[in-house]
Amino acid sequence: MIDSTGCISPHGTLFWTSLQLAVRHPIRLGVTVACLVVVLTPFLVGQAILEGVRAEAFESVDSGPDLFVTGYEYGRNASMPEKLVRHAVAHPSVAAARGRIVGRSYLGETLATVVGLEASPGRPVPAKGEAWLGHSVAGLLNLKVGDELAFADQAEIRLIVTRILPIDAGFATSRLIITSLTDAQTLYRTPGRISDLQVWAKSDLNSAQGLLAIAAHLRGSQVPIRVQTRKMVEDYVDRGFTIKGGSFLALYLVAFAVVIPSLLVTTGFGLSVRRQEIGLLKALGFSVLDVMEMTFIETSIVSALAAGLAFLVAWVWLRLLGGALVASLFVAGLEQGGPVVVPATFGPLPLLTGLGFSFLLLTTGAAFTAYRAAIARPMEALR
Amino acid sequence: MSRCTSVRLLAVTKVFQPGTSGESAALSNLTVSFESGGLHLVWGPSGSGKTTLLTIVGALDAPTSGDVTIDGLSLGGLSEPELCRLRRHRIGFLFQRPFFFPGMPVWDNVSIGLVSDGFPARRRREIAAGWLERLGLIDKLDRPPELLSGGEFHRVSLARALVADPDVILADEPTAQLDAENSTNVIAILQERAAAGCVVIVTSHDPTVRRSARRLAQLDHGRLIFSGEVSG
Repeated sequence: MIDSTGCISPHGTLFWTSLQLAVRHPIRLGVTVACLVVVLTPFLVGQAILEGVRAEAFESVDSGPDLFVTGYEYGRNASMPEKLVRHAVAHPSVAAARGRIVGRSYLGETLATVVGLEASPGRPVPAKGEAWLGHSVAGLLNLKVGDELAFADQAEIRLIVTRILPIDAGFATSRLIITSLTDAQTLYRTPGRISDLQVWAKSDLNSAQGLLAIAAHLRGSQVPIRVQTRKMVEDYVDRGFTIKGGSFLALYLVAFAVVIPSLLVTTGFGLSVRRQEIGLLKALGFSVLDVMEMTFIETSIVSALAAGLAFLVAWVWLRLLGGALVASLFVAGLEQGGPVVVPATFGPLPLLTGLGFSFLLLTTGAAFTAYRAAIARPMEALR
Repeated sequence: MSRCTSVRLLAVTKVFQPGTSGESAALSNLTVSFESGGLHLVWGPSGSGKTTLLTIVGALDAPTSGDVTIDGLSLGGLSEPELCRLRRHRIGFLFQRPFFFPGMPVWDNVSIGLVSDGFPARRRREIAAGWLERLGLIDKLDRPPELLSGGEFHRVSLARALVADPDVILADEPTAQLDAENSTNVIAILQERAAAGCVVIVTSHDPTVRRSARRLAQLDHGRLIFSGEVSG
């Protein structure tokens, strides 16, 4: 037997040989990785957008009021009298209360979200007769500062654009038209009424009991209302994103299942060669475990390569193409167009999931074939 | 260092596709011994079972019935891991067909059998280089095998069979596709291994190999029709 001085752990040598085996056919490797990238990239884009939109939504809720109040009639949201704002601030636990109108209106063919804000100390809002536009809406309507804004259903209302909000102000903001509360009331023909009331509790009194006391005080106004705490809104948001994420995953898995056979055909074009190579390894003394370890390493290397590349492609897709085709599944209104920065967060979880998917796909194709060849007598595999 | 001294086939039968219309007996009740020292030639026409005999001795295939022993060790009684160790450390097999790993350099193809023992790449390259030099292929060390000629690749296969210093060397048509000079060199190397105490069994139609062999086992239709010293 040959002198084995200087030998290292067989796992180390098996790793390097597997690496060589994995990269020795650049075209085959390229085709396999390309197939995986095609399968993985939409998933990574979808997950990144989902996480991005979720993060922005939570950030918005976190920086918002302690209580969200809406009118409530016939089991659905309704407007409330503006005087409820004054009623709210009368409670000793309330630090601030602000009424607003959130509605939707057509500007030509474009449906935009209009937010009418009540002026308050330290919080600038547009003056009467003025409007601030989100970056996306401004682009869509081709409006700039100084231009006049006209609504399709209220032609008599004309607002002057006095500010375009910057593109980095957030995705939700980019699609807004912000006006004074008075202008919004005029626009929706609801003088003296608001659609939402935001209530901030004093910092030392915003405990559950403090919030309950404020809610009870608001209900004492005899106006039919619905009161939601920040935690409740967070839960709604979370549930909404979980359902969206789940729907996307389900859709993706269907697409995935459709793609698997074609990927197996693509990656399996060398199956007989592969079987012969395993036969040769067995003839040279490799054990079943050695063969499976090498297959596992090879599969892992190709998976990591594909997941990494898919991650890069997904990043480019999001940053340069704005997540085209996928973003509209998560973000309503994108089909209207306009310059938008789709929020996206690339966390480690989608990358790991992508790696897992990729590994699963390759293993499905490779491990079974390898195992069958490895347990056969070498000549059977070599024939 | 003590070497393997004997390989015995005891009533070995090998039937391919038994119980089907394509059933064929490659070996029939074959009993024969191969001792160390000198070349053993398995002779016979195509289809006589020569290659099948080698693959069964090399533990690459199992007999349908009968047994093979190496130094008294029954291959039929070995577990799969034990068979793997046997192939890795004690058996060197030269295939007639060109089996190799395309895209990997020649030295890697020659020494890949040492990977599962933990031989690092540099050491494997050195060992492979030693054998390739002896076989006149040192200039092909880093080439991919698909760029070699048939004769060159056959010598690479021989290097691969010898690289782990096995006790039993099984060479299927070792001089096929070789010119006279390379045939002589290959036979000399095999004789040298036999002289070192290895059991060397070759199959061949080459008269040069026959002249170099010490013992002959002649097969016809899977049956042993002669076993003994080579005469003229």
